Amino acid sequence: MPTEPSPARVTADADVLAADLLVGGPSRAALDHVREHSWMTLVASTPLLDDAAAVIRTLADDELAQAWRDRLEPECELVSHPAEDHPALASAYRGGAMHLLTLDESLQSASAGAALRGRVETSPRHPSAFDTLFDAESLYREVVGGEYPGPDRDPRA
Amino acid sequence: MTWADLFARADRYDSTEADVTDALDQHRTDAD
Repeated sequence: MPTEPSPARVTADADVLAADLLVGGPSRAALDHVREHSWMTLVASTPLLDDAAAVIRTLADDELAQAWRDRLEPECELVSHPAEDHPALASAYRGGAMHLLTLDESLQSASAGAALRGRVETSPRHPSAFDTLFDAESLYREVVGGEYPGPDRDPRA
Repeated sequence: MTWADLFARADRYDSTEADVTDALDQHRTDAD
């Protein structure tokens, strides 16, 4: 049974997860919003983390891929999905993530977005769009309530 | 290991966004 969708739940496709580590830029800026707020949740699956780890192993090395996974996995909410499903789409759908961060232009296209919105409440977007649109104050009021106290975690810890 | 440590270690590989998308495309193609 899918989790109730929430704007505080985010899935990052494997390209964004790997770019966060290896490149920085928009992917890191977007995931910093998740890292620095304890009330935000990163939703993923084992196949999704496997894909990102494979990219890190390809572009860097096994040791860094394992260290990245050891750091990230405990912070994720892991969901299960059929092996044949797209790992990011299925994670977002089953984990109630209303934001799907991806570098894949085919997933960000208007037609893909419209098709997805017909079935799931997930908006695929480039991490730079999420970074620009992220409004911590209004989101905090919506999902937690009360006045936004500012970031409550160190995104580099 | 902290995120700061991970980012510092990753910096030495000097990867680009295009490298990442190409590597993921290749990985998912190989897996199919």
